[in-house]
Amino acid sequence: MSAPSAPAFPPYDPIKTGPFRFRKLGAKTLVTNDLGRHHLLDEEEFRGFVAGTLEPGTPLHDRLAADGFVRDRMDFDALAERFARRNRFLWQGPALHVVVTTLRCNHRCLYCHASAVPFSDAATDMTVETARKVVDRVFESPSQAITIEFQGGEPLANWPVVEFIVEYAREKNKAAGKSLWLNLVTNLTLMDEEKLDWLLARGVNFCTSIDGPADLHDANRPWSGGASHETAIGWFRKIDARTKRKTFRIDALLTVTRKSLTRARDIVDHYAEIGARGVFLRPLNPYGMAVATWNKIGYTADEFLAFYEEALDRVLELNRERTLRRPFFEQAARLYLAKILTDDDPNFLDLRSPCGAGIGQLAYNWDGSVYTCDEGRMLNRMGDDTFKIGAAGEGAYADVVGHPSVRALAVASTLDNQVACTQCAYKPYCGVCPVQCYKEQGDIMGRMPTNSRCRISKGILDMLFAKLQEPRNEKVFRAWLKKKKGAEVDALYQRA
Amino acid sequence: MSRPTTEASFEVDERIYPLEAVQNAAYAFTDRAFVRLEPGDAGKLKVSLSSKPAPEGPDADTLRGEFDNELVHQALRLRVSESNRKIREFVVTKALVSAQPSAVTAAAAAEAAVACVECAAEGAPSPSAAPEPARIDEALEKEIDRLLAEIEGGDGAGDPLGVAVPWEEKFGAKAKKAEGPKAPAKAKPAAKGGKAKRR
Repeated sequence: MSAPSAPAFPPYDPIKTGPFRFRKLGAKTLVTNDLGRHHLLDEEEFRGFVAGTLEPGTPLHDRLAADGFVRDRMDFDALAERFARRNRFLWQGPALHVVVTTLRCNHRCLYCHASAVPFSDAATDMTVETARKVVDRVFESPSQAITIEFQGGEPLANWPVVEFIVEYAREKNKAAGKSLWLNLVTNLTLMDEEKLDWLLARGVNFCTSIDGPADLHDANRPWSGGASHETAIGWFRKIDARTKRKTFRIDALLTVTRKSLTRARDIVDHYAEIGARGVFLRPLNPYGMAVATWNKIGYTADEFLAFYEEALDRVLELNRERTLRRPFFEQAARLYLAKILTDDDPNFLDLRSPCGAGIGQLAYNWDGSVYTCDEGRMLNRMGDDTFKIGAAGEGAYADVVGHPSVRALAVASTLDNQVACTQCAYKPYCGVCPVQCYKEQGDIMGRMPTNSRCRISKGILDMLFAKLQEPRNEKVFRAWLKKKKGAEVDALYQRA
Repeated sequence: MSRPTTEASFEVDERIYPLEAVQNAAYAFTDRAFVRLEPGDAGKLKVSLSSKPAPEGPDADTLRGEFDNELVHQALRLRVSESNRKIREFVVTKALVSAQPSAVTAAAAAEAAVACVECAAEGAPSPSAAPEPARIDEALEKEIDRLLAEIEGGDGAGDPLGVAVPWEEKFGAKAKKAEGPKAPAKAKPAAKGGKAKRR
């Protein structure tokens, strides 16, 4: 019997060619490795690399060797150090603590992922007693960096508990000595001067939702009390002005709905006009109200990607025009670029392996129930308590973060355990959300070829690597990653 | 309007493509086609593809051609992965050892001490109660053995990363309890940086 013909592929030299993953991007091939290093090779270069025929001493060979792609030129100490640096979040423990002070909200956002309750229904307000137990549990985390993020509902609807938590956490930290951040996620419509003075005096950060120009924002975020956009923008500008040159500040982000898809440039220009540092284009997720309204406001992954690219192009254009006083970024791109262009990991909980559920973050519901993550507590509102792992003030801390659900999510979100991810060129830059897999596809492992989040992630990364080939784009991207001199304490979860 | 479903059925020679490469290619195709794998003639696997409805679905030749290319890619991925498995494991294990909790927490404690505004305000001592990190050279061989044994024999019930150890247990010397809110603290800035994640 004659031998089968060899596949039409370049010969592979397993002695010279080190570990790599690859992906075709147009006429080029992207090669990456576990250290996050990457090279875009033309066809001849790729064949030479795979066949191990690149000449030592040539620039391409030496660049590949320096980045750990050439097997007989590996500096294991340096490679291990880089790998450890990129993955140092593994030993930190939960640093992000989402605290739901109430489920009440005065808005009725079309996509409300949190399934807020009517403003008059105070039954879901967290009590001070529960809040004390929550803060005590937060401070049990071995993480040196702690971020307490107030969420809801609208957290300001339960102002006494926000006040209590801020004071109690600051007080406890005198003993604990952690790097403590406090973030208030608010629609700003319940803000007043007195509250603002109090919060600014205590170094609280703010994050609000601005879904774009007034017509778009108000259509997505109905408020019976008045014009949501006008009120939010007014406070945004005021807080922005009062936090100039401070170490805390206000940021805004938007949720993209079908109404947004034709307004990419408008949205980006609006964010630039209000003086935001950047824009964060987040797709809809299958939680809460968004499930019921999906037919009205939802879209496909490909529709989102078309919108995203138009918006990203506008962001790049604004940066090149140099009419803004500082670099203006798109936050999803910035997170990926930090992983692509630096040896540091921004430790964004959705984009790491394993994800942050239980081991990087915890979410505390208004009644003190503890969930693996914010997504997990969102499912609670949909009648599913799969991701509840304990309660503040009950049981040991170790039992909460050691809960079987936490272990299962850690296994499911470790990309080496994901069939498609383990071979994907984007593995060093990506992450899966097992709770979203569970919600969308019925199990926490998910199936990446048909996973909408995977498609969006790949699409954005394809765009970024394509745009990185143009030096003028790379210049803009690198400016987004530049740290202010002496401005950053390198604490996980607390870096811009 | 969607094009009608396209069918393609063919055999793959197992002497060229290992079963795992065929399975990986089939998995990658589940986004655009329904895939069936079954034994074919001796030494061959039969692949049947039926395209999913799409506005611009592929014709049969394209579907088959794309699958062939995917097979080639998956076969290479498999070879690269297998021939470099030990190197990858070595680098990862070495990194894990160098980043054992003791070493990491010591470095992180130093960072936090700089960022802790309450400490600065109170003149509190630095909370760097973490033990000195182990010296890598001395620990390397022992730790690699321990980690490998843990991976091979463990049931995932341990806490190798130390994330389940409560703060006061880990940094006991510093863990005096705060009693609760007192008078409003003097205005002071928060630690520097950005937000982790918001809704």
